[in-house]
Amino acid sequence: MTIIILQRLLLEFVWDIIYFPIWWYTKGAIHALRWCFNLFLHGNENLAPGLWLANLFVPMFGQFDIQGRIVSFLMRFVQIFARTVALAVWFSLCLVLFFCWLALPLLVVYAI
Amino acid sequence: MQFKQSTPLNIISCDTCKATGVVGYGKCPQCKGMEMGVLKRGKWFYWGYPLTRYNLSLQAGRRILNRIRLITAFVFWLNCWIWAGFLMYKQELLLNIYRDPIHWRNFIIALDNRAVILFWLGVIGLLYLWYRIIRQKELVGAVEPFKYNEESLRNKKNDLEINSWEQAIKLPGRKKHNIANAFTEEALSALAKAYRFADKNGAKEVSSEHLFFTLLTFNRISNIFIRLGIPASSLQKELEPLFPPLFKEGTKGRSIDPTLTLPLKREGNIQPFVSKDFQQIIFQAYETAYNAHQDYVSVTELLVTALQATPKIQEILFNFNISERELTNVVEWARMREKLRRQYVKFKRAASHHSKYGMDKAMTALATPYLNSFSSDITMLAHFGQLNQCVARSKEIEEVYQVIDSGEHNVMLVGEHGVGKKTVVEGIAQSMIEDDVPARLKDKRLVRLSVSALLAGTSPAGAVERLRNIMQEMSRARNVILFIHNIHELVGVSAGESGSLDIAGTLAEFLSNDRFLTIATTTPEDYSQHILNSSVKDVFTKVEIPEMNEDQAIQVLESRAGILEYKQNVFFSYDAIAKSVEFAVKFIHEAYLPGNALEIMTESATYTHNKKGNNSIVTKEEVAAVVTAKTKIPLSAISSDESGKLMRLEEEMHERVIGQDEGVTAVANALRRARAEMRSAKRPIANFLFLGPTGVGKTELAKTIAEVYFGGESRMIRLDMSEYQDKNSIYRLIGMPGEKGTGVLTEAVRRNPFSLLLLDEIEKADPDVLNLFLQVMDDGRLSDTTGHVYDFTNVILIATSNAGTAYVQEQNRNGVSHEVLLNQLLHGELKQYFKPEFLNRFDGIILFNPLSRPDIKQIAGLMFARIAKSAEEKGVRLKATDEALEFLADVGYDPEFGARPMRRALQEKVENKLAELFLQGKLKRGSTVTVGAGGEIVIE
Repeated sequence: MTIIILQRLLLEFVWDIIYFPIWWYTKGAIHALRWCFNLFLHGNENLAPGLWLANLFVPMFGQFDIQGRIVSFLMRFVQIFARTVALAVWFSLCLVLFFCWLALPLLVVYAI
Repeated sequence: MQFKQSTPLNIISCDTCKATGVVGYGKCPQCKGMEMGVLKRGKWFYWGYPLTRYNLSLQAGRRILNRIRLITAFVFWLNCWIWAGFLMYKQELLLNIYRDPIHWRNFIIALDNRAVILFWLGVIGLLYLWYRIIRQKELVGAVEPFKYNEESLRNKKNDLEINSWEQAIKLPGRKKHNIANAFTEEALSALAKAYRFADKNGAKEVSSEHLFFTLLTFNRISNIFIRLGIPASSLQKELEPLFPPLFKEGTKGRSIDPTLTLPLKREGNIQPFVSKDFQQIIFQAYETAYNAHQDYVSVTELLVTALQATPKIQEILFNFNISERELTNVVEWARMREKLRRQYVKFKRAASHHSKYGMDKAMTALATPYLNSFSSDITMLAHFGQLNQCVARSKEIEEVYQVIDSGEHNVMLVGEHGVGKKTVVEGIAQSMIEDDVPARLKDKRLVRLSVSALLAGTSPAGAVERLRNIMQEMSRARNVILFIHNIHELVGVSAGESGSLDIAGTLAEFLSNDRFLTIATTTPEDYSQHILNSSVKDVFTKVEIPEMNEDQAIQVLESRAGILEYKQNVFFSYDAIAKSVEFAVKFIHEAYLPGNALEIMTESATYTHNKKGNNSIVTKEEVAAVVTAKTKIPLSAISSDESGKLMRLEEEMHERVIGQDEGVTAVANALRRARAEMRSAKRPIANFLFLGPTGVGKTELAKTIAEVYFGGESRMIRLDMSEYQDKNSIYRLIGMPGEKGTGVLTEAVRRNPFSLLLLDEIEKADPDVLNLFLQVMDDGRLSDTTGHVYDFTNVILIATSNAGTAYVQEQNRNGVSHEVLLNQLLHGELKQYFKPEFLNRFDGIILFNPLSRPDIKQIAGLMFARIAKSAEEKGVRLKATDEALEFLADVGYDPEFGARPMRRALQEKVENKLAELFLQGKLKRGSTVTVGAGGEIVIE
């Protein structure tokens, strides 16, 4: 029985090495994509341009007078712009990370 | 003792492969490797983990292989990179790049080819390592999420029916669920170990006993038994007889024991199969995990289900004093620790998103510097993890949310001291961090107003001013939820003479504007005294926070045990926690659950640490010792010394009380019952009425009990009932109306709940005063004028009376027997003084016998001995001859006054003379004085 087990383990070991690159571009790729997406969501939660957009006309820091409202509107506009840009950068970073995942094995093969 | 049996599941197991899933080395053609399965909740649950020698060895091999793969990949990666680095170092490339970082390209161009290849090979190693780690995590499945509307689901999916393996195989993949995937690695290895153990023992089938035995070798399980106060190893020793060894360990390896009978001898290579019981355990464990909302099936679920299936082991556990309730509570404790840990991790993650500056995400809020100087931000404390976790209060928190959701702005939590009102609010603050709250609480700050800061250094008018500023600032800020702990401290602070504006008015004015949410707390007593009469009442919605029940309190204590264990370096046994709660309920009446139990638990931890040192276990004995120190009630297990003393109680009492056997025996029996906890816990230890003429030893017996059992006469609460002859004296006993702590009786019992209550000459008290004692004697409780309930269940109540003395003496002279006389008294004479319901509540009415001449002589001896003792302190030995005692008995005896004249006789005939001799200087240290016949004194 021991020999049969060892045989089987050897087979599994070999198959695991063959399966490694296949996995990288199938299940592994999905895994990486999901991870990058979560990273993006995390960034969205922190930057929250949507929340700022929803509060575009709400004065900041409780300044309900006209001047306060005008300044707030402008400030919020700038903030929304900056935050959207930051989020876009964050998004591209996440995307780059995903492409890194895809490119890494190719790079290794190419380099060697 | 039987554990609750769960309803057996209708498991279909494969006959072809005998529920192993394999035939030969291939999958079973009949069940396709599903071995056994059950239809539940419209899904087919099967067990796809063959329990066979081959598969278990294969699994073990896989585990080793995996470990080898990980280590190899890691070492390979590290090696490649170290070598690559070494080559670069030898080329002095690193130095160049350090010196001239701008021309880094040269670095790459100049790289040695071998270094490049080694670097990339290292990358391959790293990627493979990464791949293995991710794949390993992928394999772990989970218990399906718990569904609350299971009943309706069941009705909907009734059409699914499975009677054969063909039907099961045809099912679509989403309806098939391999429960083995939900078992943790540890649980699977427990099953494997059980199989191997059965195999080694030569058993035909793997049974629940095998599983239980092997479970004990797991850390998690032995921890559970440590909590129950039993080392797993001693339990294993008890269980060993269940598994007679088939093999004999000899010098030439193992051989079949020749002494065994034939049926037990089997060929070594027939492998055991999984018994029906074992199949049930596997599926029941999954169901248990599902019902307990667990993500995985762990060894604890296996333990519980294995026990339920094995009455033999239940019996053994019963001998160790472990009941099902205890075991399930400890398992629940282990689960709770795990759950709290996970909750904490989740909370920490949520807290990282939360603003540290008290600003909402959209920055609509306003900074509140003025408010901040009079308050502390609880959400911020929660953010930094400085609050305790709130346990077993989800119902109350839900109620608060409902009130807020319904549009109300102000909630008042009303509950007694120590029930956890503040913890409920802190629980809300923690949920706010996690955003797990109604929309109106999201993205807000919960701020606790400090009443002392508000009132410090200012007049009430100044405080009103401050409060107005705070409220205005909060209205503008719009993201503040105000928390006022003990709001009654604010209400009633008045700005001027009565009738002028007070703080309550200002509060009510602002709170009724509905500009912000407020949560306040108060006690029921203060609510009725202060809040109900003030304008604040109308703006708040009341939410009651009741005292916890014992199980909830146990949960709270379990949740706090971890911190204490860490601080004091001790471990709590389950018994210690359960007893903390039990004793708190029974003996600590000044605070409520869980506050009082937490206090006991904290003190027990410190006590154990000081007494037993690091890494010791807090058992119920330590808890008992702490409670005894607080209340003086003996609670620890009865030692042999003490049991001896209890058995000799009569003898010891007779050293002080002469005669009166009936009374002494009755009292001694009551004390023994109390100490052995063989009495009703809802009444006083005993209620006695001592009847008899003056001077026969009624009060003396009471004093003796206090001395012998309660540890001194100071533990006796003595009320001379002649002082309570009018109706108004009730208030002296239970306190003036509306004033706390003014009752003589209630306060004395509050301070010493374990004591002797002596009501001397009870017939002299007003009948209304006597009525007060009816409920004391019946229910062991008494309320004072403020409604606070005092506990009398650890009191011995003794009332003495010489009612009907003349009648008793007359009948005694007529030679009427003791029993007849007592009967006559009860049905005639006593009725003039006491109501039948009053007399009825005594456990014993004891008529003290008149003292006989020999009794009097003995008493004379006793009293003389006391004088001798005090003389001895002055260095004088005092002796009395028999004639002297006879003489004293003659002088000091009066049939009407009992032994009372004896004191006078001793004073006149002995003490006075001794005093004179002292003053004359005839008595010196070391001299011996003998009192002889006729009271004659001889100095030697």
